[in-house]
Amino acid sequence: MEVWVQQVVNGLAIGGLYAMIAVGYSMVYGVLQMINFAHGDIFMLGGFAGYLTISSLNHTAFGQDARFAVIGLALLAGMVAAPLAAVIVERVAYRPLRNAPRLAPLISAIGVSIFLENLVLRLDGGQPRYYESIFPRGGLVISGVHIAWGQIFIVSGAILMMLFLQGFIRFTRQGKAIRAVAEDQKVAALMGVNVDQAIVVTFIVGAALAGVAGVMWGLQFNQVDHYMGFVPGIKAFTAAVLGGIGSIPGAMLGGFFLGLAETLAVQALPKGFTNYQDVVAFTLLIVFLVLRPGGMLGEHLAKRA
Amino acid sequence: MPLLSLEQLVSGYGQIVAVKGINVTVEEGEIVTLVGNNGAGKTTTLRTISALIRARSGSIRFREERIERLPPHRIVQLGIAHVPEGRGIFARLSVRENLEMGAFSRAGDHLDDILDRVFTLFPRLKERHGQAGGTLSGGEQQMLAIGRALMARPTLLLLDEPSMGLSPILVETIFATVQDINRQGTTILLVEQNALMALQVAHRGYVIESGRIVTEAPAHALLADPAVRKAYLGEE
Amino acid sequence: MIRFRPVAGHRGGWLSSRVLWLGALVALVLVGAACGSKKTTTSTPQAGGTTAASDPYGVIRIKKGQAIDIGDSAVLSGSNAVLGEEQQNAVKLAVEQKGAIKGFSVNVVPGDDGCGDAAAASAVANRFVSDASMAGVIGTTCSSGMLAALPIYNKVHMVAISPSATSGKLPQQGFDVFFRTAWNDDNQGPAQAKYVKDVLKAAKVAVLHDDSAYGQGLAAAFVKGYQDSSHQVVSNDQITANAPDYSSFIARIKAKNPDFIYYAGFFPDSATLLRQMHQAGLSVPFLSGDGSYDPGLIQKAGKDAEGAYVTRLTGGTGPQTKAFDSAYQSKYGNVNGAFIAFAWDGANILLNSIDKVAQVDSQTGDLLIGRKALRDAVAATSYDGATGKISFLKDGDREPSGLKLEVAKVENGKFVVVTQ
Repeated sequence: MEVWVQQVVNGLAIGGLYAMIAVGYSMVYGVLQMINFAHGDIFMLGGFAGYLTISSLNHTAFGQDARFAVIGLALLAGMVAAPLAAVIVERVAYRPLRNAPRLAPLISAIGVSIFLENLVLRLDGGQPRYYESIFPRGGLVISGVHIAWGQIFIVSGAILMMLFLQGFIRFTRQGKAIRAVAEDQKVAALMGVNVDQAIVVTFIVGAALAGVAGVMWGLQFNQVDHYMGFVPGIKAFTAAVLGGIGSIPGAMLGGFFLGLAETLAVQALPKGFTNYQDVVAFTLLIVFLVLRPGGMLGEHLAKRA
Repeated sequence: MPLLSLEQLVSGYGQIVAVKGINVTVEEGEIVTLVGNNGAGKTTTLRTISALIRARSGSIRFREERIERLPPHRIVQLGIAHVPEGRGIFARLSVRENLEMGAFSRAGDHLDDILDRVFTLFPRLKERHGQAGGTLSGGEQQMLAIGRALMARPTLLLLDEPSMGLSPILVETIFATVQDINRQGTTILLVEQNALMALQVAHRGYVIESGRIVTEAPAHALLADPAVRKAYLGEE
Repeated sequence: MIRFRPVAGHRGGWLSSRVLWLGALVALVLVGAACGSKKTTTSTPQAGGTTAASDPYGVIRIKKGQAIDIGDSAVLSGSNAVLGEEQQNAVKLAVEQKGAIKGFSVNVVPGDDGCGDAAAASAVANRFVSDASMAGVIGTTCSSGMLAALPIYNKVHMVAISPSATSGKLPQQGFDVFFRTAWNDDNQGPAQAKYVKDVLKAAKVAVLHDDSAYGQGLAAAFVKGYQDSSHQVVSNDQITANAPDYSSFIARIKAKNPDFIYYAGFFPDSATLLRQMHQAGLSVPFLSGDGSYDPGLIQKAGKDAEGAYVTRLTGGTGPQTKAFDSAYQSKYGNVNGAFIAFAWDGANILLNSIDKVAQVDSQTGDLLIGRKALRDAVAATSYDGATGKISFLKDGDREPSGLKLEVAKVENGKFVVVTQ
């Protein structure tokens, strides 16, 4: 029993990261009906921004407590760098294709993904970078179940950011603009919404979450490399579909669900098949597309957001 | 000085040129209607004014100012609200949220009095304010679309086929409301296939055929014109 | 009553779900491509030279004034890139020390084989075999890559000497171009098992491996040597290589109450396991093989690497060991990676063999290298290297006599050798 509870804890932690990345997929899909396959690489850039921040600030010089400030700055760096890249990508690779057939932006996104990976490979070399271990080690132990501080940090961070995002979408002017554009671009324009701007804000918000997730990823798993966005990106896409692409709570739900499915699979799979966790994840994707393409929540951005 | 004037306006989609050099003026306080058959270029004209379609050539002046190069959201800010064909209700937003979206261009305004005005014009909307827009009936959606446009406190209201798909009684109600709105000070450019209704409420009318204006006259004169009666009012 | 749900929202159901399908398809294709399919592409061998030096496998002709190419197929990007960089450094060092061969300079051509990525290793092999000036290859770094690349090298009879592909499967492939300076895992696994039983006194081991050719083979060899009436393997699971999160695997094995963790795989994943073992409060000793014997382990795992054991096979200290260590250290710093010296030895064997068989064409001044002659020269190697005396068995494997297991423990951020 204890081991299953432990697996749930593990699943929620990785699921929280998937959820934060999945939101970007879901929002962009909600607004543009486009799958932004470069989103995983935006997440990667966030991870690198955090790495550069932590490695360039010598936290030990300012005493033990300075590390929390450094962690804060690293998160901030991810939150700034990733959206910056996303804005450029949107302007250069997606906006010119806004009225092209739907396949065109998808292909463009894959191109951007390959470009970003190779750009980082060129700039930084193929060597992975290791985050300094500045995050507090250890955690809580509740009747045999270990909950690392990092896991608590990820899950609470993910939930906090989701609540924040919900508030943003629901109550702010830009949030309303995004919801209107997700419903109908033309009518939104007639309401006085600057559609281009709303789309850019959508990319910024999604990328900000992915950037933070990239830094959290680095803090928790301590490695970043040019290729780190690939698998999490596709997992997050899967999570977005599971939850109901276009829906923000759906992306969150899908992320946690996928994380749980993966870790519980490791526990449940028979000996000799434990590394089939990815197979489980992608089988879920196919099953949902066949039986419930609308996902668990099956709503578009506008209503549930 | 006309409120709106179109001069030699040419516009269309892709290969199709739907509007072929029209001249239209709308004076402050008027209801002007553009009548014509399906495909004559009426909707294209309205969409070009609100910049959903770029004008190919010619000019659009609003209070003497050229506006044909402005993006759509700037046009709304100038005071031109457009009720699109098919109403364009945000199906998943509530009635109230739809109305609030209408006031998007009026950042910082207090919505209460304008909301009161809309609810007075359309009491049904008040009853249904929490309901999702997509669940309203056709007539209610049309009320919502017009009410939403009014939320922007427009100087000029562009109405595209408000009678479409509605029962005759509802059409009467809607047109009566349109007249009310006009009396309260909003200038209206109305596009209609239902020429009889349109000409009854309008001050002036234009007849558009295949993208060209063929007749322009006071509405009562057009109503009396045998050629118009034959072509658009279904008389033998 | 059954009611159908609307699919994919209100906006043209089938159209949006078609885009999702398209997306899913792309995702799966990308995943498939990344996982690496076994791809074999054929390449035509070079036409044999019709010169004095005739050779049944053909002749490599290096034009006068040009350089002899040596391929270096190594993992140069991704988590394991440290291993490839070390290999490349060692090869370059050997080439530099050797200088020109019969007046021809030697040029190292790198290729990123992605370690376990069969497609990448094949692509590198195809590039190398189509290089008319390429005499031979050092590599691949990892066993999975070697399995994919060997058929390609074999087609044109190009010698490939791996410094670190240790899988027991490789010599069984029957390719006579295959050689390795590393020893077969079938030697390391049982030696590790003996050490874990006799010295570390563990009775209930949880075994993990990364499902690569290397990890599978080494884990199997370890299990075979370890299991007996008083020594139990409580679990034997494969993990997904290069994944960020093994917490679920750790929870799974923790429930089996092992007193020892054995892992067959590479250092980045060892580091992740160590970090997450610590997080999960699983504090039993950990031992891994030569794939994890790299300073990268300590760099990545930080404090959590403390107390971990790593092993490799050594051939004792030959006369060249010190010379190599100091030369490498002065040029690149740390010489702690398990396979660096093996790569240097491999490169020297290749260079010496080229030197032995290459002839200068008296008419044109070109350098001629017979492919079979070169292979045979490598096969006949008897060389005193940095990793001990090297000669090859008939199947290309390194002659195992004289090897011993070196065990190191991480103490204060350093590998400390704990065997004599």
